[in-house]
Amino acid sequence: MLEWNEWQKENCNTHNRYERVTISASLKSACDSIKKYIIDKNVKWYNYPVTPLNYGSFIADNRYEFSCNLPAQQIQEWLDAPESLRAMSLPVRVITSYILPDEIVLPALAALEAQESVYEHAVIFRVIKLKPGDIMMLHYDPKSFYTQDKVWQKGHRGKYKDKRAFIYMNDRAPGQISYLGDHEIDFKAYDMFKYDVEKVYHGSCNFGYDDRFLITFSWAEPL
Amino acid sequence: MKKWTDFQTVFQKATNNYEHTVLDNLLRIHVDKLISYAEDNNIKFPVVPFIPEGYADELIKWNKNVSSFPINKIHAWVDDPKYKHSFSLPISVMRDTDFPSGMRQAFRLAFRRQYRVYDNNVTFRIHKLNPGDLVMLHYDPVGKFTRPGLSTKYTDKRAFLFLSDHSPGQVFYLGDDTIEYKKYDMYTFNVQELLHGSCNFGYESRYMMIITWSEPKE
Repeated sequence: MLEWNEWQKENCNTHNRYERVTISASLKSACDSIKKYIIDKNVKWYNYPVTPLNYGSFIADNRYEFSCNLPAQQIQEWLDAPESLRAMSLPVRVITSYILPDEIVLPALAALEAQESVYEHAVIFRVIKLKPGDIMMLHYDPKSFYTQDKVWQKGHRGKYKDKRAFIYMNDRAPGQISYLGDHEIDFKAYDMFKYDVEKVYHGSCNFGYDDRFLITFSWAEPL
Repeated sequence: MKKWTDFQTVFQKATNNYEHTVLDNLLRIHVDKLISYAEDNNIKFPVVPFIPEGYADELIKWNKNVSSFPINKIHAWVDDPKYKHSFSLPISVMRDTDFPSGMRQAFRLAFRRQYRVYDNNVTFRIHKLNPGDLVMLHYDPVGKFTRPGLSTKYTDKRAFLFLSDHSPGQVFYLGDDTIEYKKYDMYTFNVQELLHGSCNFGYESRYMMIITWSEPKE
């Protein structure tokens, strides 16, 4: 995985290009509603590995997910390197917008669209909880998180770029670390950090005693 | 465990005091010899849970400061199921007894030339933080050499000596500070008085030597 990340760093025109954005009152309110709903209703968190089993094979077979012209076998070897397997299979606690009710989801999407430039309403979010003891290894996100539909992707390729933003939902507590690019982020509740998907290396960990709560919006921005 | 840690912050008069030094040349030579020996002989890092079974009992046994405190409460705080998973995560540790006694003794002598050590009380271990490893924020319990009745004669000291340069995703907290370390940087503090923890969400292992000794009181 180290080689794969270094390759991307050198070849994907990355780096510390993220921006800190002030969120609108309506987006703030919508995010509060999401958090409150999840806590009040005790919505189940799904534990996913950062990279699923055979992720290397998947990416090798779906190279459009990355702007990448490497041989498939090389990608597979790097992503499935046994020395990183344990670290990359550590669980991440996730709730996606698909499983939340419309009355919670729609105001958040509308608020994001009012604040950012969104192509054809292509926006989703997911909520990530980093519990004490959780780690998310440094990684680049693959493209098109929000469109699992390959037909949609084909019809719209070249018309948008992938954007992503983290909105922190708690003040930083001791032991909560977030990296964006080379920077350790000193976040507060409602801080929003926006970047081009694929372009910014990031990761996080929590070796303190309080949960870290974050909402990730992913959308297409018209070119 | 959160309550136990919060309790210690108040009860043990936690500070943010630590001293940064860079290892001198003589000690570097001895440390490098230890590392070479470990590499040449392919010494394994045994993987152990950070908090072993019965840890609360150990704390109560050795920590005279809490002997007057309700034992049930310490058990409840230390064994809090909410943090059981976090504290049972594995750490990889090589002990000084994995090295030949002559090599250990040479290191101790070199260390005693530089630092004030009470009664030859120096031990060390090497800690490897693999990618994906994490050590929760905690206070160390009293030093190995502490025995009731001797505390007026010395102070338990500990030092973290980094054996590799910092690389992305490696995080180390001392007190309220994130440490930007380099190879041979050493951070010294009084055992029990400084909160610390670390994690590694990068792709290179971090090697650190933990040296513990007793310093005679003035």
